[in-house]
Amino acid sequence: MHSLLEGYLKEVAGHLAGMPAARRAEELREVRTHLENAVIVGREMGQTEDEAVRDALAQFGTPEALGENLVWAWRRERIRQMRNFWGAAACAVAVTILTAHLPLWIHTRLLPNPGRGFLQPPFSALFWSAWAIWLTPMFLLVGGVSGLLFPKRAVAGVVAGLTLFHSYFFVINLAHDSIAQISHQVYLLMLFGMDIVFVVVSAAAAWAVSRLRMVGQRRGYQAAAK
Amino acid sequence: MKRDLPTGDLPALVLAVLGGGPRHGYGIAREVERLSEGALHMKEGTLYPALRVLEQDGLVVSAWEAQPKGADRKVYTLTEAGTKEAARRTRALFDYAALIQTVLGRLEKGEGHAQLA
Repeated sequence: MHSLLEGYLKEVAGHLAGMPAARRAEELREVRTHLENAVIVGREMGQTEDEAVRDALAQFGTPEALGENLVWAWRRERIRQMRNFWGAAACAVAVTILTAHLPLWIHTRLLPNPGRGFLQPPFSALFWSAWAIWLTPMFLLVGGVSGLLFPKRAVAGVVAGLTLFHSYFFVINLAHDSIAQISHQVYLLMLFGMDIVFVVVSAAAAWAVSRLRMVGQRRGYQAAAK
Repeated sequence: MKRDLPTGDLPALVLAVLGGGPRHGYGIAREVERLSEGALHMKEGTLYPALRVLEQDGLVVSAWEAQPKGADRKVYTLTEAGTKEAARRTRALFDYAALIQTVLGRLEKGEGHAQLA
């Protein structure tokens, strides 16, 4: 490769500091391809290699301007990913907290032996199962909506939110159980296991829902490519 | 007369060019020059950041494709959303151009001066 082109690409690379190495390599690869194409066309039009390289570089702009613009675009993408991740996590926790009062009301008003706490097998197992089944569509909605732009990040956010909230609930239940001096070890393990299964199933379902959009985008790509 | 393409108009033109079929970045720049008969010139360094933004917004997708001769090229294609957005922005640019033409036409006829007087 011509020394001017190498020098240009090195300068651009210097202005892409902070960008992940893989992303930086991809950007430079694309710029290199573009400049090489421009040089080839210039040579075909009768220019010398030096003239073609100088023309190509002049048309591309300064390394500083290019680096600045590429870094700006990368930062924009990162900000949106972080916003989607934490936004999804916040949505998941908010949805759970806002809807938690309903099963609690059901538990205290409708189930046998109200007021003795949550851990009364077998009704408590039914209670938690009903809550999990009832809330799963809401988490699906949160995952799907949050997955509109960056599905994988949004699903991670939903999983983070679910895990945090379920951990909180598990700790609260454990404390309550200790205070009530109920020592259903196997039952506690069952409860913890159900929580894990619930988080995994909800995350998988939210991922599946968010994948629908990616499939739609891919179909658009295939239709446009025909 | 050669003039620089305003940066704000670049995404709309890129979408419009991709409406004609998938292209790589170099091809997009050359197509804009060809269609303007060399009158519109874009600073090609501004093209790739604009393409990144269009990708982030889900309007285009890209993929590296092997070429029969030479290095692989990254080819960009409009998505369904990109096709709709291209039509919307093209319409907006046409409307803007018509509006500017109307205003300048009136000024040329002296209507603006009459109102100021």
